[in-house]
Amino acid sequence: MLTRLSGGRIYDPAQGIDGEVRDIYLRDGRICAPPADPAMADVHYPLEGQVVMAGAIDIHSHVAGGNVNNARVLMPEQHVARQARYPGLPFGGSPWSTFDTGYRYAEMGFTTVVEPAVLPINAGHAHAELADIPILDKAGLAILGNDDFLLRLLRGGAGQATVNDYVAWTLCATQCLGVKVINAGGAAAFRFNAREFGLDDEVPFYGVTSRRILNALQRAVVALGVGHPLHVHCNNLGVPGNVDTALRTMEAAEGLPMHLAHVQFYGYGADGPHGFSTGAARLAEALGRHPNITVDVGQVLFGQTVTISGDVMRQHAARGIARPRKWALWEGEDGGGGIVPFRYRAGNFVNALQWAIGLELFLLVDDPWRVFFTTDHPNGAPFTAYPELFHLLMSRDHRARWLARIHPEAADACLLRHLEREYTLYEIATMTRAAPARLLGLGDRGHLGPGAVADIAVYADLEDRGEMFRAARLVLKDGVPVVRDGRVVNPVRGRTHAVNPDYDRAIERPLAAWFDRFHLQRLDNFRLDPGRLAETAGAELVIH
Amino acid sequence: MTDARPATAAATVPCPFCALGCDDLSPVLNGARLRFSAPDCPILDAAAAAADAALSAPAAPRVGGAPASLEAACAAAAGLLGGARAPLVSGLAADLAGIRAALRLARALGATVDHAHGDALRRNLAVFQSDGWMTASLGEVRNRCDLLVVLGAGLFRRLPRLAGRVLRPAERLDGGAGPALVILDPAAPETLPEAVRALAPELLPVPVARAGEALGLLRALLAGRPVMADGAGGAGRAALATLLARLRAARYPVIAWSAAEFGFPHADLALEQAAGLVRSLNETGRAALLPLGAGDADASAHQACAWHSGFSLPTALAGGRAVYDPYLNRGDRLLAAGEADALLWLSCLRPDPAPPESPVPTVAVGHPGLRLAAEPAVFIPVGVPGIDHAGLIHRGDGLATLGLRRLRDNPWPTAAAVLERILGLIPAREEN
Repeated sequence: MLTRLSGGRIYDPAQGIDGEVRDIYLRDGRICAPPADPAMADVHYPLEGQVVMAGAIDIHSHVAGGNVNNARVLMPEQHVARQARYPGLPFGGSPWSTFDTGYRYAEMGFTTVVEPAVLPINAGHAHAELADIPILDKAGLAILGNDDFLLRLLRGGAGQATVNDYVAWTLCATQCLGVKVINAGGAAAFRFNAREFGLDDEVPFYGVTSRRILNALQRAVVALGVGHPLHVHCNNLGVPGNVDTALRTMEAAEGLPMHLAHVQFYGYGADGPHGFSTGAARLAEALGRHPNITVDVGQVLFGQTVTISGDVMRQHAARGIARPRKWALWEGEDGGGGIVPFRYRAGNFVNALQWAIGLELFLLVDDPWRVFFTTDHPNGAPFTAYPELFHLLMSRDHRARWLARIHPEAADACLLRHLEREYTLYEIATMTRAAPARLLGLGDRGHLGPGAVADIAVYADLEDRGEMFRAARLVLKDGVPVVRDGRVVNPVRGRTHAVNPDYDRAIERPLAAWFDRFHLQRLDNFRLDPGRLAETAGAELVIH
Repeated sequence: MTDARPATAAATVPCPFCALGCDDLSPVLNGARLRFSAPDCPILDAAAAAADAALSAPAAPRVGGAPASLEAACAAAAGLLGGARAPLVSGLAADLAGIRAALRLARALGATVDHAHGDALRRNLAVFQSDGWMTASLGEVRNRCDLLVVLGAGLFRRLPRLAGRVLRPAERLDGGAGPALVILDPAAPETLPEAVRALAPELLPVPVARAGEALGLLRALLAGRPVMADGAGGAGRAALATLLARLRAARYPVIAWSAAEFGFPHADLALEQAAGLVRSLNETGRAALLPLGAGDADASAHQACAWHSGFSLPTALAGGRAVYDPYLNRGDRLLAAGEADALLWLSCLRPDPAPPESPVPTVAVGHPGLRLAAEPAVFIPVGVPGIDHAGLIHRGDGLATLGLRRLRDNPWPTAAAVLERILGLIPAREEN
């Protein structure tokens, strides 16, 4: 079946197309070259005056896994449904279900999302939960960096090749798309009752620094040819003055690719009367000097949310600011996490400055290929607040309205009021489509060239960019219409993407012995069997 | 017999029959009979015997007690459930695929969902949802805990291999030998399982129903409050003061329980004391809880229901939206109060948990040897996860999932397949 989308204004930065009116053709779920005769199309969508982009891709959103799921359970009072948004669709009356996650992302034109924190022992759960997010394609990042096996390797002076094999084995065992490191060594140090942990601190017992862990993992990801660079949650998240940590982490990357997640939470100076100030300019300047580094922002937006993190040390430190006053912390094999509910308030100096710092980062970094659109859902704000963030980035007037409402000292202390820049649709398409696909190593999406998956979002060209991006007029997933006029019409199933790099099987001997010595599971039972994931977890796996 | 052979190419396989989730089973097929060469576990032995016996039971579904085809049984189930106004979907003792299918069916029916051990689950959740808590996985307890305080010796009966696999592993990450053990229970030492006695536990004569008092006194002493009582919960003050000193001196003390042991009113208030004590200990040192449920896939049912509906169990899915109410939606209450008019009971791991005795017309999808006090309206036998088909199931701490395997040829469909088939026969409802 041939489908024609005609007359829309195309924003496709991967092909350098900036608002040109062009026709797009699809066949069998993929974009194809135009046929000789446009009349050959079986289905025709006239899109005159509308904006056409590839489906959007979220590279960092906590949408599945035990930590997310327990946060749902911790706060039942926060997501009561007064009425069903989609009474006719599976679990369409369950705000914050996996199903609602799929529906709400799709409404905004998103078609791929990455869960950035899959603890290997929880990978089976994560895959089953991801499989129940409809419409979207999904992927997970496997957490390493606080695991005993790696720390033992490093303590014992193992060569990089051995680390590479172990990292590749982990990716295969968890069926993930990339590697995430969370406060490298921090959770391991917390087990020895450390309550602070910096880049050059040593993990007790192992005598290995955070920097060494970071380096080993980063080199492994590069050596294995994994498309997505090491995805790093730095040390000292949320601590005033931590912009220095972020800068030193960039230096530590030594010119190799590295992605720094939710950098807004590392954009903090320690100046001013409150000992808290914006470090956005220093971060942006450092990014200019380090073309190997990419970042996503982790924007804060005002309102109630819940912070969900594998940084168990940080979450323990944050227990006093829990609102409502309840919080949960857990430790498990090779990791842990914490859930701390929080309400960001515009009238609070720190929260207001966090909000401003995130926007400053978006606006100061002038390369939309290297700064990514996230709220670290739900840590800075739930992803459902994205339309507001699009609006803020694309409208200086909208920012000015907010600057008049936030804590006045924060409004004075930040750079934001001096930043004139407004994102263009081309830049938005770069930041949310073309660049994420490239960053994840998923060449088949994020663009509208022939051969790409037919994941397409069509928007009305509204002056209010928030309204525009809140409700796509049409979304196609693999060529199938899934959203019309901002409403889900077909909750198709998405797929789960993973990489399986080659490795020397010799690593399985010491690994199996290590499992036998220290684990409640054996190696063969620990690793997921990709051939059975469809039957046991409902996941349709695509291995790249 | 000479034709004994390993039942699977895998060296060892996981066990879904208690919350511990051991994975060192070596299954051997002797003809059609399945045996597990290692380990010595009464729960596994009983489950294996039941699975064996199932092979000699009639494989056909029954409608009204008479054998029926799978097609006819599914149609009868769909008619019964689809015609009900307030159905209850419960049991949920299955693998994740079976539970997920049950949840999708419940959504289509507008049913309320619960688990066979929902009441136990809710005791823990009440603590979690009011204050939160700090927990450790079974693996962390195995590798790092140096003082384990168990509330109620019944935990050892529920997890027969806890002592061997978790408390005295051959080797630990911290190099230690395993935790000292304190059990709050008035039981006589000789009533403890031998493997537990071998750990030389200290027993404090505190029944679970009074554990909250003892833990409360520990909290008061830790906080430096003036304490007049000369004991609490059945333990003397000196013994509790000694226990507190040990908790403070330990590197990683852990308080463990099975909520199934806490079957008395307002038990969550006792468990809250444990959570509060651990929080306070963490201000300067480290400590954690190991809050366990009752097994029979309660952890998987809880997790899956949470991601499907946003809420744990019990949740009502009527009217197209999810309503979580841990009192009104309890399955037992709905049946007792006559507020449910049909029951779908899913229980395929063991002959228990059996469907509750109730006048409500019942569809039972379960273990071929499911214990039935009365013949249900429809009974559809299905395979046992981890024996008859592959699957995923959570370990009792909710963190790890076990990759269950198919170990033998068998005539049964999976629970997931049966429930999907019933779902396919339910006409779409007009939701308001």
